[in-house]
Amino acid sequence: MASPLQPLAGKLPPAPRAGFAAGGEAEGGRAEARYVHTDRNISQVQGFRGHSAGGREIERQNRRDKLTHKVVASLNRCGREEQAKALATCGEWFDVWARPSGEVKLLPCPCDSIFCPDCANRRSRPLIKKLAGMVNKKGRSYWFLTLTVPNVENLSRYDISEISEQFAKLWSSWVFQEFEDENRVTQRIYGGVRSIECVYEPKTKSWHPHIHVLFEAPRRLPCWWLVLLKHAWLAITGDARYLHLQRAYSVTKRGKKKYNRLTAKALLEVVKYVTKCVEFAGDHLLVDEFLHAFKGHRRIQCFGSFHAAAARGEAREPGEDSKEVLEAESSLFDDGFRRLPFRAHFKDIEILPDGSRQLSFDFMARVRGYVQATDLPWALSAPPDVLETKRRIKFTGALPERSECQLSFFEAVA
Amino acid sequence: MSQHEVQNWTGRSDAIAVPLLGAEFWSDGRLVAGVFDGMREQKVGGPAFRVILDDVLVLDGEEASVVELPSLTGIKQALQDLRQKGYQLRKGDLWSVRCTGIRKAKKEGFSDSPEFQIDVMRRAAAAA
Repeated sequence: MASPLQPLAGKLPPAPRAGFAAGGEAEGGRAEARYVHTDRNISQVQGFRGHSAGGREIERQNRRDKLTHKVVASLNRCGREEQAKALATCGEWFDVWARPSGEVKLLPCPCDSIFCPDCANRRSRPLIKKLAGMVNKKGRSYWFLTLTVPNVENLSRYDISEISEQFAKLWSSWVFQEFEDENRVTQRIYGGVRSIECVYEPKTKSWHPHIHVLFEAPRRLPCWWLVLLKHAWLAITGDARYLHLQRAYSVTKRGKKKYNRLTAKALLEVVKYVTKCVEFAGDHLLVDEFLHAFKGHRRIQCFGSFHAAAARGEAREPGEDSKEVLEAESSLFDDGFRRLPFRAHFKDIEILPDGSRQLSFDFMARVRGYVQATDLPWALSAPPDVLETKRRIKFTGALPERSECQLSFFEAVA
Repeated sequence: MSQHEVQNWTGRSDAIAVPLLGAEFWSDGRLVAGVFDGMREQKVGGPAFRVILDDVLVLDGEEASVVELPSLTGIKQALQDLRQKGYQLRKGDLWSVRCTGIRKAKKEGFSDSPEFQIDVMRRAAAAA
C-alpha cells in the first residue's frame, strides 16, 4: 500500500523558467522579469545600403526608358501602332500554358523590336556565348575594323544591301584571303563577325551607314596591311576613303587593356544589336525610314572560321523565332501543356518573399474556369511545326556505276 | 492661460562653413562615419549633406568634427540606389560612407570620379 505521506524532501521548488526572476535580483526580481514577454522597449534598427554602381544602373535604365518612350511615340505617329504597343509593353505579358490538372506555366512574350534594348541583349547573348568559345586561340590576334561609306541623305534598303555586298566582295578579295608578309609567307584572315549599323547625323541631316568587323588574323599582322585594305575598300566602293583598324582588347578591373584575351564584354561591342537611335528617335519620318531600310536585312553575320557560330542558328534577327522559345514551347507541349488563348500581365503575378512567383487568385480562377469550360485538345496530337527551313533533296535516278573520273582512273591503273 | 510662447532661432555663418569633402579627399577604402545632420542647397553643384563625425578628421592641419559631403556623382548615384531601396533622408541616421574605388574618366578633360558605398542605420520607433 502506498504511503499517503510525501517522501521526505520529495517536494522541490519549481525550476525557474527562462525570463523569470531567479531570486537575488534588483527589485526582488521584478526588474528582471519586466522585459520578458514584451518587445516594447527593444529598439529596432533599419539598415540600408546603396552603391554608386546601383545608382548608375538606375540612371541608365531611366535614360533607356525615356528613349523607348520617344520611339514608341514615333512609331505611333508613323502608323505602326502594333509595333509601338509591343515595344511599350515588352516584358509585361506572358503566354499561358496549362494542363488539365490546373498546373500553369508562363512563357515571356518579348517584343523583338529592333529598337528594344532588352530584346537586343536577349538576341545577342547566345551568339556572344558561342563566340567566346571561338576566340582567344593561340597564335592568332583579334582586330576591330570599322568600314565606312560616304553619308547618304535618304536611307533605303538599297544602301544597306549595297554596303553588305561590298563587304562580301572585300572578304573574298586577296587582301583578306591571300597576302604575303615580310618573309614572303602567304597569310590570310581566318574569319570574323560583321555588324551593319547606321547612325543619323543631325548636323548634316544625313545617314551614316558603316560596318563593324571583329576578325581573327595571324599573330603578326603587318602594319602595311592597312594600306592594302584601304586601297581594296576604295576600289570596291569607289568613294570610301575612311576606315579604322585597331587591335581588339578587353579592359581589366584595374582599367588596363589586355590584348590577348577577349572577354564577353569586348565581344558585346560588335554583336550587341543595339540600334543607336538617340538622334532620330523623336522624328517619326526618320524612324520609318530606318525600319524600311533594315527590313529583312541580316545585321550580324559570321564568316570564315566564325561561321560555325551562325550556322547553328545563334545569329538571329528581329522577327525570327528564337530557338530558345521554340524549344521551350515544344518541351511544354510534350509535357501535356496547351497554350491558352489569353495572356497574363505581370500584375497577375505576385512575387513571394522567398523570391518565387505565384499567380494571383483572380487570374488562377480565370484559368481554371477556362480549362473546365473548354474542351481543349488534351489528347496526344502532332507537335507544332518547328519553323526551320528544311531542304528537300530530290533523287532523280540511279547513279552511274562508274563515273568518267573513275573510268579514266581505272584505265590509268591498267 | 493666455501666455504667449516665444520661439527663437539663431543662424550663424560659421555653422554652415564646414569642410567639404571633395573628390580629391577620397581614395579607395577611405571611410567616413557619423550622424546625418541635414542638407543644404549649394549655390553651385546641388545639395551638400552635413555629417557630424564619430571620429575627428584632420583636414589641412585642422581638426573637423562636422563635414559636408558634396553632390559628387558617386554620392548622388549611391543615394539614388538607396532611394530605390526605400530609404528617405532623415536627420539622426547613422551614415557610413566608404569609397569603393576611383572610376577613371572616359573622356579627356574630365576628372576621375570616386565611387561610394553608403550604409545607413536608423533606429526605428519602438513598437507599441
